[in-house]
Amino acid sequence: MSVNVIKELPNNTYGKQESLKVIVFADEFIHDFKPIEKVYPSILLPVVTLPLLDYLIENLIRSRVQTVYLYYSSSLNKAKITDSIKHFQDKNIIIIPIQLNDSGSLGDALRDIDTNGCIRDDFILIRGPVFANIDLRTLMDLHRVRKEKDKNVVLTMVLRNLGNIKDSALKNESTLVVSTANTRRILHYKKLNSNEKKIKLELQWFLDHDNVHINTALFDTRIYVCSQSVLPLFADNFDFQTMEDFIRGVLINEEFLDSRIYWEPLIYPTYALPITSWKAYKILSRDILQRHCYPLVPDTLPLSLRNFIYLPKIIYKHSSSILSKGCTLHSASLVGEHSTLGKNSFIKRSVIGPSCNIGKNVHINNSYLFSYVQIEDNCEVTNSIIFSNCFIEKDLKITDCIILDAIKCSKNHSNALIGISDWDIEHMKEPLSDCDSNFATILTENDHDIDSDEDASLSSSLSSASSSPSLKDSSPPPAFQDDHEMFLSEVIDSLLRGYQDKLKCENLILEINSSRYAYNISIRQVSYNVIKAILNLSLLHYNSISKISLSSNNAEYYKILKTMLNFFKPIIVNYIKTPNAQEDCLRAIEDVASSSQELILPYVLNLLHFFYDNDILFEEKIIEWYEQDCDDIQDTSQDCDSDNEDCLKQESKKNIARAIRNTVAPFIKWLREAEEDSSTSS
Amino acid sequence: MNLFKMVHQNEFQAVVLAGGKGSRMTELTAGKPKCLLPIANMPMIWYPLKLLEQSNFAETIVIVSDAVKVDVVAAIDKLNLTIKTDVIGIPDAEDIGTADSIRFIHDKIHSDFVVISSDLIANIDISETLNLYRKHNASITALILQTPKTPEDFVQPGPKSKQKPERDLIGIDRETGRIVFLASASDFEETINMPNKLLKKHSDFIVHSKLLDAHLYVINKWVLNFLIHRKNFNTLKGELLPYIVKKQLDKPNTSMDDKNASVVKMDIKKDIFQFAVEKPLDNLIRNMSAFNDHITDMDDAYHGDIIRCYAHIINGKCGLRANTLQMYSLANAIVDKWFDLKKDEVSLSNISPTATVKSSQVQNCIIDENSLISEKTSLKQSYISNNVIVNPKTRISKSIIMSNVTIKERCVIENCIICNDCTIEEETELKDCLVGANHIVPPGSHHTREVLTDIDRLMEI
Repeated sequence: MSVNVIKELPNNTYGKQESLKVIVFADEFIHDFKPIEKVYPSILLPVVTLPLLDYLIENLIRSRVQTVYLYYSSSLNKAKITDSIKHFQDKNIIIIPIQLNDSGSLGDALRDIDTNGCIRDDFILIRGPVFANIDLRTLMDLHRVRKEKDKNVVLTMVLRNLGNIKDSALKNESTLVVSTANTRRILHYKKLNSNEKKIKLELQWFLDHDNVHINTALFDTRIYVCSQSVLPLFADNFDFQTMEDFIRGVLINEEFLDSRIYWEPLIYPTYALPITSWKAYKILSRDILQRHCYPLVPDTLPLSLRNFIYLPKIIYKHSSSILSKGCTLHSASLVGEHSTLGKNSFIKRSVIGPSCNIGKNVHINNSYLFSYVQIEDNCEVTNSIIFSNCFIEKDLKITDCIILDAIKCSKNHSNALIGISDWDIEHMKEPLSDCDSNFATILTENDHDIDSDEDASLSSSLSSASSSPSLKDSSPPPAFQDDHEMFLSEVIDSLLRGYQDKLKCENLILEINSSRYAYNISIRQVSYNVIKAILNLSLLHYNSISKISLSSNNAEYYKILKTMLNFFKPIIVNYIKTPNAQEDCLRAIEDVASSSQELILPYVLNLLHFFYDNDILFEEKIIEWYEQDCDDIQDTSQDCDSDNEDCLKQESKKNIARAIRNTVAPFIKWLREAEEDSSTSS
Repeated sequence: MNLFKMVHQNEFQAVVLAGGKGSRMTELTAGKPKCLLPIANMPMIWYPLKLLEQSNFAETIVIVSDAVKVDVVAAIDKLNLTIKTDVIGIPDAEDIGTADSIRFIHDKIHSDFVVISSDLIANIDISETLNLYRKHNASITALILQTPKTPEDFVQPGPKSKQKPERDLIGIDRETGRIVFLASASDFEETINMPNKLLKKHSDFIVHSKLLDAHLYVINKWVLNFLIHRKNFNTLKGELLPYIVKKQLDKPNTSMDDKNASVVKMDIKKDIFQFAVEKPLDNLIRNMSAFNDHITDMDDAYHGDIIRCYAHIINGKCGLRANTLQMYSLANAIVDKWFDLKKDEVSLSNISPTATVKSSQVQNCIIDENSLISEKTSLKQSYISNNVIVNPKTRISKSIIMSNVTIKERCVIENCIICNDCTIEEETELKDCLVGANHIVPPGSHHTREVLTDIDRLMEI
């Protein structure tokens, strides 16, 4: 049906001379794709050796777009952005990079654009790192045709039908789209939450429209054709922060705002995919290699005149690359410009970027190497992403890792350096973005002491995931102060003030909640951080006292801790309600305990007892945590038999976790006995 | 192809449900059972019987209310149909529903069966529907029709009704044609709760609200066994079908097997999956074949479901269910476009040989046996049943006159339904009216958009 729509287009629709304006946002404003935005603006992420932006601009040129407004938020990215668009100067396209003044969200950015007044016509909005080979002019034409029938159309979304999202790696993106079957007018657009058993739909939709199309396999490509009224709508509604807000707001107030949203399907062979996660990155790289997104494939792109030779079994080899004797390019792989492969190296389903140097007997499987990566002899790299200028010493095994820019690896790594613990989609249980934020928290709190990076806490937090990721990298990750850390310090400030001024706990809860929304923190992070803040606060307090009076000892500390716990009890009770929150609570205790062993460690038992007595933690949760920790530590200790230093770190971590377990053992024993008692008595 | 059109007696049995009371058109059914109300001078039951006959059914069961069994048998005998009918009377009871009737005659059904309602007026061949059923070995396959467009000049006799036509919400998977959601719009107040499971399993479906469930179902034998077990289901459309459709989402509870200990308990707990059992080979065959009904995910064919409901949507052709007054009059107004209604092939006239027509102005009318149309009358687009006497100087247009009606001199009758055994006295003018059975309209009265009936008689029902 949709093919017909394209055919039915009036011959002369959107005049070829008429200029088509495109707004591209280089930043996503939503930080769910860590750690990439620390290195590049995500739009410059190299995909099959070229930055994503190059593909995007190439597509814009093909769509005969004259003007592109490229908005980016951070000043850090300025040089990189201007640099990367230089080579488009002689093309038939004007790229205007614009830095937004500290816009916190897409909504603010669009409001800025509205005030500037440079766009007074329909335009196309591309949000974040999007790959597409769709002809934007056709999209605009469809939008125009639709506008003739319905004056109030504000937005045409381009949605990709994934058939069924259940088994897809992108299933977290699953949205429910309710639209009219004939016109594709969107009536309802909502992210599906798998926890909900019933989805509420309004009866009126079905009565007003003969055929209502309900689809859950559609996927937002983040390409939007906007009418000029979109900008004023953003300006009028200050609560529109994201595109999702906008869509929801417009649909709810459809009659009041007199605006309608339609959608357009992507029809084969058009292709579009926003890179929202490493999984999407992997899918896109694979699809480019397998030529699903023709004409944007390595050997046809005119923009860099790359001399790729396309060989059977989806192998691309640059003419300037050097393959030594005995090299195997197994399948679905690409070797970039001036890269060399040593003797007997084996490449499978991987992309080797330009100017990489691979040694002898190196096995690279299912991995992505950016530019100037050096790998010495006898290495094995599996399921990993290695950023530019990395150096990997010989005889190393790198599995399931992301290695950031210019890092020298000298020992084995496995199971995620930063981020992708769940590289293997089949084993994925927790959404990637959640994991990311957990990693971020861990990283920031251990900035001062990287070598003792703690994994025990992390594995407990990810207990449901089959593979427990561990952070074992020696290299300092880029220091960044993220929202979670800010949030934590904010909470500590609030609590400290509350404790000193003896404020009511209800007020403190309100304060915490408002900071939660300010930093956009998930509820699980809130419970984790609140517990952590309370424990840290007691430490701070103790430290300040101990400076004054030297006589203080551990018992003194316990007194402080106890009074604080009692004081903050309403807050703790408020946040620790669900089983998940209990997990977070335990995790927080463990984290703080390991960071200042001499003080808190002896009192973990008392802490647990306190929480148990006050019905904050349940017996099952405590035992679950207790047992599961043992397993994890044993597992990870087996992984590192070759490397001494690594083992030492492991050992220390193990020791901490073990020490915690040992201290609480009597309590657990007591719990178990109590349980038996109660079961026998009943 | 003809081979496929054959309906083997053993494969499908047919059941015509003609026990309906016409609770939504009591004005008409006071004097005649609903299934015998004339539509274009044919008793309503002729239409489903004809449909079955056209689809090569050799015999059918007709379920009627005991009280009218004799009348129905006599009426059917007169129709000269080749299809053999077995009329079964069921006891008269207030609340006997479609499912109850089927349950009542269950021992006559030995195979998969087709249920058709006596008020289905549609000229279609259902062999395609049967093929769809066969193809997927469905549990239930329903025939879905386009709702007919009401002609612009159509006015329903009787007072303006505020009653809105009932609307079915039929969700049909775009890829497989399965019914995934079925409900009546009146079941909901403001919101519809859809199970998340459904949205995940069927990621792409359309909910139709303007299609008509024809109440023609092809039903698997196991569903009948289940229906016998589930005594609390009264109707097919309202209860059984939505239930079966909903159950498509469930998987059989395998842990039931090891509860052999208490047999008594199990009998109470009997769930639908103890009835919905595939033949052992069916599953094996499907596992070994490459067939799959959908390609969007990695699930097995039919998502491994044993319960499968399908909708056969017939495009282009229309039909209706004459179960309301509005639909009944609409059926009379447009049915001649769907059917070739000439009773016997020899005479080209629509006037029965035994009728006496003295009038010279008869246009587009059907006049039945022994009717007497006097001179100086004008009849246009009307259906006159048997033994009707129309006296001189009377004009009748767009009306339905049932049997034994006497219309006296100088009457004007336009767009009316006049039930059997009525008498319309002299100089009466009726426009858009409905006259109940045995009613005598006094001379010289003028009525527009009214129901004229003996109130006492109506109250009885």
